[in-house]
Amino acid sequence: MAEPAVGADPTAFPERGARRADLDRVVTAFLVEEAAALDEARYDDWLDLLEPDFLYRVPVPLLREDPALPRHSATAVLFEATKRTLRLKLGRVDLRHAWSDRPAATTRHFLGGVRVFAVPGADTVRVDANLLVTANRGVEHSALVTASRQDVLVPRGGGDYRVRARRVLLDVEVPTVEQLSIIF
Amino acid sequence: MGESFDNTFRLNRDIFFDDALLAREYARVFFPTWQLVGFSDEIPEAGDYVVRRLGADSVVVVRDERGRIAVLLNSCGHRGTRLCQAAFGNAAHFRCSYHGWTYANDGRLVGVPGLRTHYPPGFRKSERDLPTARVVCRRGFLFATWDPDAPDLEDYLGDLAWYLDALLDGAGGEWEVYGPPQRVVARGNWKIPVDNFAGDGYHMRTAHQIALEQGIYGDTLADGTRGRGRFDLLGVNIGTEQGHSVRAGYVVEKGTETLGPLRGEPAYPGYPPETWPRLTAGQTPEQVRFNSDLEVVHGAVFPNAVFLSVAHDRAIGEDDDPLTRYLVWRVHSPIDARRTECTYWTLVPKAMDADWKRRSYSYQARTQSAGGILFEMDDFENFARIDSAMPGTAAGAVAADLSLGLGLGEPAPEFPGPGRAEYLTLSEHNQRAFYRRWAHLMEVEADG
Repeated sequence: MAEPAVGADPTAFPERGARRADLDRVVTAFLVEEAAALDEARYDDWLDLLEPDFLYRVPVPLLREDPALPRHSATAVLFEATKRTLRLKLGRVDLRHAWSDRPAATTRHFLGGVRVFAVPGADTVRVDANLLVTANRGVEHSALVTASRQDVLVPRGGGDYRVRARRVLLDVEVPTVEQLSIIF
Repeated sequence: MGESFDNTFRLNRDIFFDDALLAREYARVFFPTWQLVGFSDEIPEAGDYVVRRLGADSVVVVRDERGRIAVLLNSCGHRGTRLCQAAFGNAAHFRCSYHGWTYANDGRLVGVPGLRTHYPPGFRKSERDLPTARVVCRRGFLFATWDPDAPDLEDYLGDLAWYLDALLDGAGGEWEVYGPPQRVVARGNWKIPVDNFAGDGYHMRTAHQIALEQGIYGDTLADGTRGRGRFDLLGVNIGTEQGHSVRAGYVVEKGTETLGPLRGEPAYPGYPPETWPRLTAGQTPEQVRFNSDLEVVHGAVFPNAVFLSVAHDRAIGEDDDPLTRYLVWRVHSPIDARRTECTYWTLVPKAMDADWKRRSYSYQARTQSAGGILFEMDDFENFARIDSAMPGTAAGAVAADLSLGLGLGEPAPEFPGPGRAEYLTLSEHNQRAFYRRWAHLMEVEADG
């Protein structure tokens, strides 16, 4: 299927460089704290961990005949957000008429297989991890999602990082609304 | 369903959750109608295919070796096995995974293992081609129907055709699909989102109250100036006998009850002002009147396709982003009576530059896409709440009410488009047109 031809793409995601297993432990510790901020609904804390130019994308999964071809679109997304968009979303929980966020769903992020890679020509790192997230809200809203999550982190020294980009590659081809309502 | 003399329009609620009724819908509503199955852009080369739904059936929408587009039943003629498992790809032939019957990509059965040695002499391959649906490519839109007796597509669209053309001609005429479609499974009967898009302006102030308060629509006017204080939105509803609908929302001076050019020259909110003279030159005078000062337009192509074109403000972009429009088309396919698969395509005018196209797509993705957490989520929330609460014994016995604006719309005689256009910003006029057509096809008795 044709993908639109575009010039320099601000949504391009960096390729993996050299493996940096020496950073796995410290980066995992950062990401566990980051996920805890989401699960514990400390949204201001979580937003503080994002770079100002943060871009979050959930590419469209592509069910293809040939397993050698990419399984997610390079251009089409199920969802995309900037830091500002996410601030609007997470700010909704405090607003009475945010119907889909009140009552709020309880989420639980399970992170595994964290692998750190250098980004060629940059001082950032790319982190690939397996992610399982559950979201529950009342009797009928119950979702479980698995994904490959890829982050670009900016080192701040002393084991601290900020997230510049996040790409969520869902395993499910056609997700439910409940699965898509999760911030991964 | 029924319209009574006490100013009410009601629907029996079981039409939103009864699986037996869905089986009748497949036969009476989906079989005889034309449905959107995709866009020719999606299959540009010979052998390109996408797998879609046409009524109750999976179909392969494919461009054959001669460049013609076919819609093939995605089920082997031998034992019924699904032929294409992937969602899209490229193939000269479709070979069944069970016993190897093989079809050319125009649907002809070209290979049957053991045909000469193990089949009776009178067995003819040529009598066993894949069933094909009728398909028409209309300005890149692929519409298909199983019914050999269905009217031609243009007759089927009727008055709606003018509005579809006006929508496309309003931005240069040539459009492209931006990437593969978004797909999501939502709770709720397929008719609920369709009637929402057909004409529901009423839910904006409640369902999307937060989105409005958070400034997603912002206060930027088409010419880039700020401040909506003097202006209002005037809604025009067009609901046709065929069940199609358009609801157009115009920016007008407060207190104005008819359309008129706001600033003398035609203005197209969401497109760059420097393109406006070119956009005007590409339209008929009637189309210019339809498209000028048009902030939002949405509607439905009966039975299950809908569209929305709207200009969103910079609240969801960057501070220096201009007001930017997107056009999204969506198809609602029932999975069962209470679950619906939604497929979304974003279309962009070919003449816009790459940055504009990307921004238009991003704005759709951030708000109105399957994962559009700022806007779409509140719609899906309501559809799920309907599905949760409606099927009860007591709840199911109450009628659904669609009386809003009944008999109150003022005809808009000077409106440039065909059909009966009514001025009434808040009305369920279009939803009634949808359900009248639906009831006619279902042969449901009016029961008040």
